[in-house]
Amino acid sequence: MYGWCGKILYVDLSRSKVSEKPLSDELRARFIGGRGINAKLLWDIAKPGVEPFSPENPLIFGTGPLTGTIVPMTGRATVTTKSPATGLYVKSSMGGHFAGELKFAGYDHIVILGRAKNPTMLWIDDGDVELVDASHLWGKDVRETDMIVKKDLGDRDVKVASIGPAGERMVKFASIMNSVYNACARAGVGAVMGFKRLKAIAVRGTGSIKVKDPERLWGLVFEIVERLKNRPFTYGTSELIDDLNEKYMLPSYNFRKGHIEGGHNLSGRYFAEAGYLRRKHGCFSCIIGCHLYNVVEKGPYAGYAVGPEYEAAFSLGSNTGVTDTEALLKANELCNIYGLDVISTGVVIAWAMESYERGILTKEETDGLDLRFGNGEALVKLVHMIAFREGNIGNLLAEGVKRAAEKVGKESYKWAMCNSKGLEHSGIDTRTWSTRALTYSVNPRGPDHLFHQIWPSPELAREITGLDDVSPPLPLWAEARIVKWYGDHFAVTDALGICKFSDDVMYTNAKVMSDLYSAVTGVDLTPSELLLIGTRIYNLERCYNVREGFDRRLDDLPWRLMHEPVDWKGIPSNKLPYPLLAEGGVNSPERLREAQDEYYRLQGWDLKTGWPLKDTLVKLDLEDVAEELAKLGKLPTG
Amino acid sequence: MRFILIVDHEKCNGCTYCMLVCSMKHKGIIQRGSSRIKVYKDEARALAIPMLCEHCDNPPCAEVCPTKAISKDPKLGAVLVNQDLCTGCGACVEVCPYSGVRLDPETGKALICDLCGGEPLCAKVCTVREAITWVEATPSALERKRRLAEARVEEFKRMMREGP
Repeated sequence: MYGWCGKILYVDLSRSKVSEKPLSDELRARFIGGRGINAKLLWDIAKPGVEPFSPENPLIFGTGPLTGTIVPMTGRATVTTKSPATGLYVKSSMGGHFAGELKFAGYDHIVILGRAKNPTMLWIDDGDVELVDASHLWGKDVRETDMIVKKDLGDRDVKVASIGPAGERMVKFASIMNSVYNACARAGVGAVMGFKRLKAIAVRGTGSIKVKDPERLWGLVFEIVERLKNRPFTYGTSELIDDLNEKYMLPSYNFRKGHIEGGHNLSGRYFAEAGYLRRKHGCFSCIIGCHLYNVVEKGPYAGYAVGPEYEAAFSLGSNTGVTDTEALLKANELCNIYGLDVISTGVVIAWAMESYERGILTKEETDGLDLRFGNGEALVKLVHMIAFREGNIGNLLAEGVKRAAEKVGKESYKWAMCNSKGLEHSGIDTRTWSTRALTYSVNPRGPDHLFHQIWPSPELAREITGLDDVSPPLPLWAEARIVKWYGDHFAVTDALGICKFSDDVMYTNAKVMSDLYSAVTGVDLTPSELLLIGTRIYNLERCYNVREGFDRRLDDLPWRLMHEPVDWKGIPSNKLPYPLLAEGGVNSPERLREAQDEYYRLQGWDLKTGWPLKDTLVKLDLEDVAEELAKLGKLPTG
Repeated sequence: MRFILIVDHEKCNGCTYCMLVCSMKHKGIIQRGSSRIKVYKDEARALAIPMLCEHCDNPPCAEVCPTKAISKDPKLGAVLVNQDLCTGCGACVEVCPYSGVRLDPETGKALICDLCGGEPLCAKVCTVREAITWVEATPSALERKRRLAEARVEEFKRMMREGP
């Protein structure tokens, strides 16, 4: 087999058994790998209505057929499960070196079922797989765990994916970390791992990967490598901080404002200027290497600090009003080693800060913390308390912002930055960047930027829409087309194992992706055939949500974004981010509905329920899925 | 003009991509164990040190080789292994001051960088970081190579002392 290893590893933690099955031709042909095959495995294995925290909820790791070949920037692994945060589908992906190692060990996917009696580690030593006691690792943070596992095994080259104290305590937004600093963190994948008492997965892979057409592949690869050379990635995603802050589009103070004084202190450029940045490191096979490795020399926050990326700098920085660089670095570092999603952590803390300033959370309820915006010390303390579920406030916030707001009541949902799906909103204010409102609302896992985003160059926008004039605001049908275009591309990218930082060199270039796919696997697909698989994957994910109770009402945005304009006090009106500013300053439910109508029509989904139509699923070769939905009475015929 | 391979571990981001292309080029499959480069890593500190042959003027590996399998290519300056003569005894692995020699996991024979016959792929693909470069052997480049190799060995020894 070329590209793929051809094997799925099955782990039953309840019975302490491991087994393997071949990766079927059918799965590969229909869903490629990674996110795609993961989604089908979830659909097939998880029973309808499965409790996220139950032995029957599978935790699935997946890699793509390009990972472990000579195609650069292909170190992504996808983790898929039913989310304890949303009760819906979640896939979360991570860079680092885990995916490559797993491929060399001979596995494309791992399916983990059951729940161990005691803390357990899965140890994959090429084909020798065993479940070993991890009692001595329980309670250790991610970095400690990584170092102890390597020492125990006497091998520094082993790759470890693990959870920290947050995952052990089933914090609803706990992450899984690998290679110490690489997170897959959204919607509580680490909490599911913690429920299963699976502390870590260690992998050593010494095997090999073959490719079908080396000569053709070399040609493609040299071109990619050459094109990657001139990309402006000096400080990774954190470059965005200054850019958005200057445009008054940086979500700040729990999305009340679009700008923060001193925001530059949160950017990678400043980490370099101020001497924190020591070096950058890269994920598996990535010649760019965008991760920032910082060191704080002295003071209360002395120590290593890896990252923060844009999302962490927004959520833990501008969104909490904190511009103290060292507090940000520390808060981010604690999220990494405790295993917390930086986005959700910052968003839930900002909600608590606003609740505190409004007098809805008292100092007693915050366990004495003075939770005013901008209090970096309180931020750092609170990250710790959430991870360990300490005190009233730590335990409250560990449930995520939706549940916290429900518990506290007093209309605090109005500033809880999650939508009805229940996931914390990532760092784009869709009121000031209104072309992204639709994408955030229809994202199957919740409002964030990693299922599709609207960020095409004018040339690309023209290509997708066929319009000559692509200056915003675009007509709704054109917006819908762009969202679908990205949705399909993202699905293929995640299925192949490519990093989205590759931009038009790979991930927005279906021609390049199909060429790579053919050269590696020997399966010839045209770009449109490849993208059709993307559409299939994306619709299957939608169907999973439908099966688990989703309907159109959940495709919305946080209350604040739909009802409250940004506070522009003190900002001259000529500085406002026109033309991306939403009409009336908010993402009104009416406009959102109109945009979604266009998008649903384009996708072939029922306008009333938001469920895929029968014809749509049949056309996408998802008859098996359609049949199951029909039995549940959830297959509209349009 | 002769060219030389210069490795600056401070610039290495630890992606190990060089290992993948090296094995593909020489073995036709991707298998890190058969790469002539090995990137040693300390993940917790984001440190990465690529170790490979420095192509010494008087290679100690050639001196200790009992079957005279190792020689220096006078034109390119590469240290070459005659696979027919190599018995896989591993004396070269032990003696190399740069930890630049490994044994192939299948054949057991010595793996030493051959500079890809004059167009080293590792340098060709390390385009962004330029941790590995293929440059003209000017006196200053030779001096830089010597200095960086020394620093690399120092750092490598420190990493090994600290253990995994």
